[in-house]
Amino acid sequence: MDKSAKTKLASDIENRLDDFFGEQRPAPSATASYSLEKLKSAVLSIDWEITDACLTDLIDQSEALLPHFETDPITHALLRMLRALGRYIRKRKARSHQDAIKRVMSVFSSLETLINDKQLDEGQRKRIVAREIQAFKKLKEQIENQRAVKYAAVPAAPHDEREPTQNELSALLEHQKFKQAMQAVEERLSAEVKELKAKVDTLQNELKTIRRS
Amino acid sequence: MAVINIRKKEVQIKIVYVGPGRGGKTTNLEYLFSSIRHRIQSDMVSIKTHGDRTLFFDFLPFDLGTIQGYRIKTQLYTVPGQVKYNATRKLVLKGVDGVVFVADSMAVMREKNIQSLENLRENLAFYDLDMYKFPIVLQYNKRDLNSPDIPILDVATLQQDLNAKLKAPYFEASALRGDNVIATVKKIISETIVSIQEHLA
Repeated sequence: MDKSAKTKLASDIENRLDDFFGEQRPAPSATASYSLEKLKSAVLSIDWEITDACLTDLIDQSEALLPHFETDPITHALLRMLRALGRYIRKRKARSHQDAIKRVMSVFSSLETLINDKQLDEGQRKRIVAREIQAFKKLKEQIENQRAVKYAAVPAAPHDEREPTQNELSALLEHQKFKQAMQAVEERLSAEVKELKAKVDTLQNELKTIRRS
Repeated sequence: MAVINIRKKEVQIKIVYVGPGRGGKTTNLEYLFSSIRHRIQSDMVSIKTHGDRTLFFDFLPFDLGTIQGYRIKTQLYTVPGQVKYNATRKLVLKGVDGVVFVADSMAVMREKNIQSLENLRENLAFYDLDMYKFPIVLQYNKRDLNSPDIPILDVATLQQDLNAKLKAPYFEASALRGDNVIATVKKIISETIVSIQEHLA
């Protein structure tokens, strides 16, 4: 291959590559784009290591993005979901549900798609957010059930301050019933232990009397 | 070797992103995909483990268009970076036409970068390919991490460790932010097509 042919080929390739990669999609506003990058860093940091600082960063970055998407309820919902998940994991730490981090990753991935992909129509956007909401609700239910079973403290579930749902109320009632049952068992056990101690004392006294005689 | 269909005037090239685990190979492809997805028909395929690590490979095919009358179909792959997946790496490298070596700039990854490059050399040699005469572009990723908490290697050290003998084109990049991700892929595609043309001539 002679030099001029090589130069021509290189120039043709360069032109084609410039054409192909050159046209960029319309980007979100510069500030939103910057905040999204910071949010991505926070999410990836969690993937690497889960620390309080990373989680606080995730919550802060989600909050910073919220005002940019006030007119876009779909993106706004995902951001609120991320913030709630961040708060939940920060509060529960190692006791968090095993799927909580996976949810963070998934919600962020959907959020990124919604913001960056301008080709998505409204229907596709709604489907993405509906899928995430469904998965989020499922996670919440699992957390609530887990807590009821584990006889844990009153929930710090991934949601904002609001009226408890029917599920939460029933979980709470279950929790109360379980608490009462446990109390009854404890009382009964301590009564039995007391009775046994009294028997042991009587037997020891009898033994002493026998030894003396 | 590239698949060339003279009758259809079509060339299919295979480019593989290699490098140590968690170095940013998948992030490179994800960034590229998000940049070009509005103009390509295909989707990006990822096969991941539970921990979101690449288990088998990521695959991003796209049609680049026509160069000198030939339609160029490009396939980008990543390999799993973790040491234990060498058999998979070797398999994915079969028929490779060009390589992007994604080095992790974090100081703690210095040894892993060197080991990974050596592993690439061995795997290419398995297919009778000489890494030193092969289209390869180095990417020093994670340049954005420079902070007192996360020390990164300076470019001179990376060059000394990885590129002293190779003398390949290199880019400082942040796959997360997209810095030089497109420049890297453009360079490797260009190098690969020229290399194929030279082999054919």
